[in-house]
Amino acid sequence: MHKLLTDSPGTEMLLLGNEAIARGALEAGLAFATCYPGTPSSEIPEQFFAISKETDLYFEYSTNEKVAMEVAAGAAISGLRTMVTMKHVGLNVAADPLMTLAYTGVEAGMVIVNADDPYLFSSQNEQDNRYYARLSSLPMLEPTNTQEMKDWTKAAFELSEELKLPVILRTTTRLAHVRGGVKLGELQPRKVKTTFKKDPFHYVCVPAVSRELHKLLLRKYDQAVEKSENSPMNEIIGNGPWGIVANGVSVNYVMDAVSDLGIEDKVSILKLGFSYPMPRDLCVRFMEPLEKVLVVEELEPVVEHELKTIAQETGLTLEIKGKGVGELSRLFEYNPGMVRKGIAEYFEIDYKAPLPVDTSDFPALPGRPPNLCAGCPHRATFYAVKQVYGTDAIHPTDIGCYTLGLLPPLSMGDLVICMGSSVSSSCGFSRATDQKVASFIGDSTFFHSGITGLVNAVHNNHKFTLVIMDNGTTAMTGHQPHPGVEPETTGLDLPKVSVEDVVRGCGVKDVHVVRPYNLKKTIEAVRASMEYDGLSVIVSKEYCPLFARRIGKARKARPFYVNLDKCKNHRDCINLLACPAMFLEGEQVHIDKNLCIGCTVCAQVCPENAIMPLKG
Amino acid sequence: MGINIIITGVGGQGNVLAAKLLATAGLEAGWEVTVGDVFGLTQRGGSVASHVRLFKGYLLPPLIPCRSLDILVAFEPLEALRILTQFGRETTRAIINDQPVWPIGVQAGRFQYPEAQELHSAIENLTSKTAFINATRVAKELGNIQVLNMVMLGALYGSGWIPLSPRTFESIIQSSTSSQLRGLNIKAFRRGLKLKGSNLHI
Repeated sequence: MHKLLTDSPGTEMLLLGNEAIARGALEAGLAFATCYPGTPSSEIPEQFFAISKETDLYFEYSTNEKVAMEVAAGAAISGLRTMVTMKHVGLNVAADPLMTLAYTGVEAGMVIVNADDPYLFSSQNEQDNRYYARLSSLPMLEPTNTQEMKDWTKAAFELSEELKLPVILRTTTRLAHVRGGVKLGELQPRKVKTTFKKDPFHYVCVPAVSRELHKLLLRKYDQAVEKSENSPMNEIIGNGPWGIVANGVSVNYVMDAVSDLGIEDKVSILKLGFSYPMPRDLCVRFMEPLEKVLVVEELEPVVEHELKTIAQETGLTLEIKGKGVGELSRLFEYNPGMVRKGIAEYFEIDYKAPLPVDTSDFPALPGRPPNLCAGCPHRATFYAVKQVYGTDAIHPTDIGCYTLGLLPPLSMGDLVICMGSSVSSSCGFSRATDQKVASFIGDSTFFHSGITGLVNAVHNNHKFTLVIMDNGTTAMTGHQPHPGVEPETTGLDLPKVSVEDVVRGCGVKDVHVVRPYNLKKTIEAVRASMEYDGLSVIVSKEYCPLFARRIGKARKARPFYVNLDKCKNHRDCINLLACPAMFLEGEQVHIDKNLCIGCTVCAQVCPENAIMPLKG
Repeated sequence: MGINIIITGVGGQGNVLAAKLLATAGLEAGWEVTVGDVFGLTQRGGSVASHVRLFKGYLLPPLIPCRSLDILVAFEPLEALRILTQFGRETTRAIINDQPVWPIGVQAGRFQYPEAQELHSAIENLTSKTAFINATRVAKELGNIQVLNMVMLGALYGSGWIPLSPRTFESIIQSSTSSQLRGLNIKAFRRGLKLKGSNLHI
């Protein structure tokens, strides 16, 4: 049995923040869940995927976040308790349904989990999605620890059902990936089937209907304000003259700093858990007796600006500051030291921050940058394309492990902005310049948002080569399935949608399917596509080696070694491929047999044929 | 009252699981616990650090403040120094598996791995007590490098620096690790425990 199905209320369990959210949903009787995976949200749907195999919970990996949101909306409007999870940039993709789903509202509880990524641990930007609550007028909850992540998820379902609105639960990387104790509650039974009640004047958003629905949304917003005013998730702690307002993980940093600085008697802390709509009256009551207020919030000065507005409207003249105090800025994530320093500086407390270690006498510490794994088929594909296209071509790339192809020596990557942009931006590059264009996209990303760009390329007659790197899984986020995976790898009887069929179906005439470990044939296909006067697609198919090992399909190949009698030290292997299985000892390249998976690519690159399989 | 522990290593060495098991042990012994895992875009081959905080009273944030580390458990010496330059203080104690894992830049000859002597003296500068051990060898002797994390945790329990019982920990290994490795994990943990007094200079 899955550990999150443990039916013993009161037991304390060590859970990852994301597991706590999944448990909270189960305690709320979740019946239906969808997602597109994305760090740091992916561990939530991983739980549902496993649990759906042993219960009647419905779960699916949808093709992208917009689809996931709409699938979930259908279920929630029909009357099932529903959750959809995504990372912050995923909500951009799902923003279209989000905005109008706020008008229609939902019948049963629907919780949208949104995971922000301050400091961009694994994202292309660090946008602050608290603005989406404001943009859509939907309520937002921001838990501050693992227990609240569970409890407030359950509360979010109840709130959603009371207001008949989707509720956004916002986490950040630091919370999604924290582990902490969680006291379990009772598991509620699931209602897994329902009947949809037709109500076109609520659900069919033509202008005449939506004009009324917008009024309805504003009425619901007013109700949400009432709930926020009275919610235990918004809490005033202490009654000193100095005010501190915080949300999310920052609440912990503030509590820690206040205790460490010994100013418990001097401060009043407003913890904003039900953070949108802001509890306006509570904020006024909080600020009225204070001398001044410091807002501790990561990323944008959202609460700071709203407090200033509230103060102006109510004639309060106290000082309110946040960004710009000490090191508190709009950049990156906060940490305990930064918050301590900010509080000390703002309230003029004598505090000496520990000095950084003097490292001038220390040896330089080489970093451990991310790198494609030993034997990664992407390396072979990049190498082949580079051999044909040289260095002047433009290589738009996309989001996935293969983004790492931008690092030397491969240096294959000229633009990454968002999922699917490799295909559409190639249309622009190839029209605007006379340079050759060969772009890269992964299989999961292709299904997510590459197809519409490809149809555009066919219809508008754009000329470039798109390389679809099909490794049979969504590797980057932890090997989740997508529509193109082999059914046997998921343990589910779901039909496979073939990448090649989709490409041909879009109207692409020049299509090549290659196995990238065969360099000669791959290079031939790349050359043919470059010479083709039109749009070409190369599907480069090879399992992600880590995934292959996990599903018992690892290559049964012997590792390779460098034959020192033959090696003349050209170093093409290490200089052109830089596989992590290779290392230099003195001046000589060797291969670590524990890392080598026997992909044979370096053996094909070596001009002396000095790289050979180990015997026995 | 609390203890700040960082378990660090190179992605793939099993340090995240080690942190999770240690935190479970803390929780079962009645401590409040938070664990914050710090890693970047890649989990395999990158620097990984888990901040494990055991404490009594209110909940502590998932990150340890700069220069506030009590105990470091490092699966790799370069990672040990990387953590200590940020979190080390006069009272920090460390258990370090003294077996370098070369970063890709060193493998390719673009950077130098620090000399052992330099690395050790920098580490000792930032700690009050340091035990350099060879847990990799023990794991290899047991026939599976995957149990390195259990040897390291054994050495931590053996040091007597944490108020947790090795016996309870064995039951956590029983209930929380994969059935194929369970037996070997316990053996590895016990070998780690005994490292005290031989080449563990605590």
